[in-house]
Amino acid sequence: MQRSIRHTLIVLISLTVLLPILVMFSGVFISIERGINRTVIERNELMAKSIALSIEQQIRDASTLLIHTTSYSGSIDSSEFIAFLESSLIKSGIFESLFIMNEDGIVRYSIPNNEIFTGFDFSQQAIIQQVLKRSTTDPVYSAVFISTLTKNPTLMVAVHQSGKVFAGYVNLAWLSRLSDSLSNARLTYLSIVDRYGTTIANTNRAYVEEQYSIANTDLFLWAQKEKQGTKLHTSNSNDNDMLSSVRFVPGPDWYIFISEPTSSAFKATRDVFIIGLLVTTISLIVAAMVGYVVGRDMLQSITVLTEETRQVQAGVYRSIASRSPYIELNRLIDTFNAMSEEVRSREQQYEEANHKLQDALKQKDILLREVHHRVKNNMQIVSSLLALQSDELSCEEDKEYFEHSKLRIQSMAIVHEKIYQTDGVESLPLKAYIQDLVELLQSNNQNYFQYTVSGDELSITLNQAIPCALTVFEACTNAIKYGLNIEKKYLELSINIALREDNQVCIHIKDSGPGFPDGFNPAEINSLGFTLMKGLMEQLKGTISWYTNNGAVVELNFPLHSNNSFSGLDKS
Amino acid sequence: MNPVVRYCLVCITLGAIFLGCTPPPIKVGFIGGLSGFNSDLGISGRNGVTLAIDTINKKGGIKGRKLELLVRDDRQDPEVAREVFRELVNERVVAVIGPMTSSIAQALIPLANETGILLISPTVSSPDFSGLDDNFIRLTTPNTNEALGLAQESFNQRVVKPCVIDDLSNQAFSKTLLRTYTAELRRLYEADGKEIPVVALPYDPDDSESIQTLLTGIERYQPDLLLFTTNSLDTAVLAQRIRQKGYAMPYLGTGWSMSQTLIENGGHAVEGMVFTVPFNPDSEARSWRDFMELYQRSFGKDANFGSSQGWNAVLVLTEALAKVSGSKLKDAIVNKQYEGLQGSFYIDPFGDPVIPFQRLVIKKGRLIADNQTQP
Repeated sequence: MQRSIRHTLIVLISLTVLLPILVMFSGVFISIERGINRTVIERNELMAKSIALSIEQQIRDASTLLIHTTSYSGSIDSSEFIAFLESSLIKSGIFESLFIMNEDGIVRYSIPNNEIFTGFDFSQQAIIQQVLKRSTTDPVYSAVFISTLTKNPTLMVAVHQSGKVFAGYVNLAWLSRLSDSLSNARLTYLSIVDRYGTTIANTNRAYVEEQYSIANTDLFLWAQKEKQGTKLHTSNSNDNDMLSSVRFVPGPDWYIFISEPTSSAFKATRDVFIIGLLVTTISLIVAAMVGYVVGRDMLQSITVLTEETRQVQAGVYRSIASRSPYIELNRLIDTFNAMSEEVRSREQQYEEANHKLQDALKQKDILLREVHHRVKNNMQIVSSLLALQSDELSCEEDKEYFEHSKLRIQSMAIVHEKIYQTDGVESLPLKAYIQDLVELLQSNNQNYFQYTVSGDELSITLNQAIPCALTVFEACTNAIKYGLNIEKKYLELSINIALREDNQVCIHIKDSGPGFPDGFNPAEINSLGFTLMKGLMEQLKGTISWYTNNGAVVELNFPLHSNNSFSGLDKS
Repeated sequence: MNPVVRYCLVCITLGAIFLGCTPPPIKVGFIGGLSGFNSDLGISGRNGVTLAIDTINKKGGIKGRKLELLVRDDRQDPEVAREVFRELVNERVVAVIGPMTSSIAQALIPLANETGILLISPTVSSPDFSGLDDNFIRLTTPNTNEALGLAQESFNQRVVKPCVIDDLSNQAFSKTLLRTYTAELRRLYEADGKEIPVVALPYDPDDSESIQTLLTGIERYQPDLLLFTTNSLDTAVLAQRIRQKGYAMPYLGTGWSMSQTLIENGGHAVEGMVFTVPFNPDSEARSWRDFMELYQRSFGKDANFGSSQGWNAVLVLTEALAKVSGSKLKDAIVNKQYEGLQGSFYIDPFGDPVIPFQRLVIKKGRLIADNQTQP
């Protein structure tokens, strides 16, 4: 995978800065979190414990006061005794009412409203039945109920002594006031429930009035089992995550709950986390910026070097003038400048040498053309000399030999003519050459014939051109000689050139004559033309074949050589 | 990214999505008088409803959806009741269990018809709501049946000066009971060739002077039977105050007052009090015994008529919710037989139940079923 130096630098510097910060932050956060969480839990548990002890003490004090006050063996008929009870229990504000009952649970005296309740039968009340069974003065506590008089949660404390039952009603409105006063900006809640899970004090008074029960909640079942401790749970009323500490109050068997939403309880932890996150983020940004700036300085030089390297590829050689703040990069720039200068110098030398070579090649080409031109001229002279010599001959057969020789020399001269007329000096266009060759034959022949030269345009090297030219010449001469229709004085000659896929040149020469005689064998008739053609084809590593197909057909096949390929060819 | 890591990430994401797809709970409303002097019926009804819903949720809910109970206190005030009903409608409850008293039902039934939210009352017994094709279903027979039973009881005791204590705070209940009781008692006596006067003495729990006025009325009229149409605590206090004055006439009570609160606060004064109600606290039915045990364990009190009816209301609603929802709820509830805590009962096409009545008497601080079953 390819990586960017810039990104690598940013990551490296970021990691170098971040890792120690993250390690430090994690350590500090974990220790702070544990400390804060422990403190919060301990605070809530302590609060629950304090309230539980306070309530327990107050209930116990009320019970003790009831026991001691009523232990005075006065008669309910005694106004002094009634006044004493009223001032001690009712006017002190500890009890809101007091019922004095006989052993049958019938009210003998009531403070206040004596005239209403005297004679009332409370014997069916569970607490009265319970306290009547007691032989000691230990108090019995009722379940908390809503008083019909005050509409407040109320607890009945009953004691059995001196042949009477004293039942005092303790107004528990102060529990809700306690709950209100302890509510810390509506974040910490005090809730008290009785032994059955019925709410008897809560910031929300409706819970108390409606006797809201948490009996079936996991929290209450846990509180009944554990009696004290802290539990994380989900609130039934609003589905918030809550942290609740509980403490059991023996006697009335109440449960004190100090509840706090976890969002509030662990706010400090969250704050520490957010600050840590903020510091880490800022560190990351700063590290990334430092990485970017450092990387930019480095990469600026590398970018210049990259650009100048591209320029070298394009043939532009310049020196880098700007300097980097880094020694290593400056060395690299110096090395590049030296390399660029060296390459520029060598390229200049190569260019000069190339110019000289081009000039030399040009000279050579001119010379070669001149040579070919002179060879051609010489051949023309030889041909003219043969023509002059043939005029002096009287034998027609000799004349014909001379004429053939003249044409053979001319066909070779055309090769040299074509060579120096073309752009190159190594090869010539085969089709144009054969065209000229046939025209030469036509111009030197008394009988008119039609001809076509068709096929592929291809070039042939000088080494192959002359054997090929002489072979085609011989084939065409034979066609003109033997293919002419004597009566009609007509001959049609068609030559086709093809370059096959295996790089074999196929020259197909066909006339419109009667074709080869049956049993034609060039070896037997000792034909110079065929002997010459076979020899030339052997020189070209090719083959010659003949057959009759609506005329005589001669096919020449030989491999085409490129300009520089001389393999297998006799250069002589 | 490595294919294994990518696969794990996809699995975790899909897992989180599917785990997060817990079906939303079915919201059920409850309206009852939960505060003030008449709260014992409302609170016991709510407790019964709460226990039933907790039990259903522990068994997996309805079609995999939990039930969520939204409780509202009507404070025995029709205006407050209307307000809290609208609150529950806005909370998109499927139905409201409640109210517990006829006077509140009178205020809520028009709203239930208007909003299409079904009201299922555990205890409302006024006959004014009988035979109507409305959005109101109840699980208690009309108190006309109760009044017929009480008239028969009075006739059997051959009373000559029966008196009805008419609770002005719940007139939808007390007036119809008084009217039916009087008519039936007169019919019974006329059949015997006699005439019977029935006197009604008004009582207003919100008026502190009302009790004295009532005692004065009793002193002047000297009735030989008293029928209380008041709630349990008021009945207990009135019964004690009347006995305090030395009167020993027999007492008749209604299902509204029949509770442990009455017995505990009435003491000997309510001994012998007779009720004719569609409820038997001494029922030996297994389901009732189990419910009693669960209720005692949960709330530290004995289950009563209100709590039993609250449980039955949830039973009726959830049986329907298991089949249909929304506006078809009523059709799924009516015209059907149910197995309640104390036996089977039938809800007729108008949403009124048919339940056999019991004659109950308070004996030695307990409600005892009399063998004689009333019509």
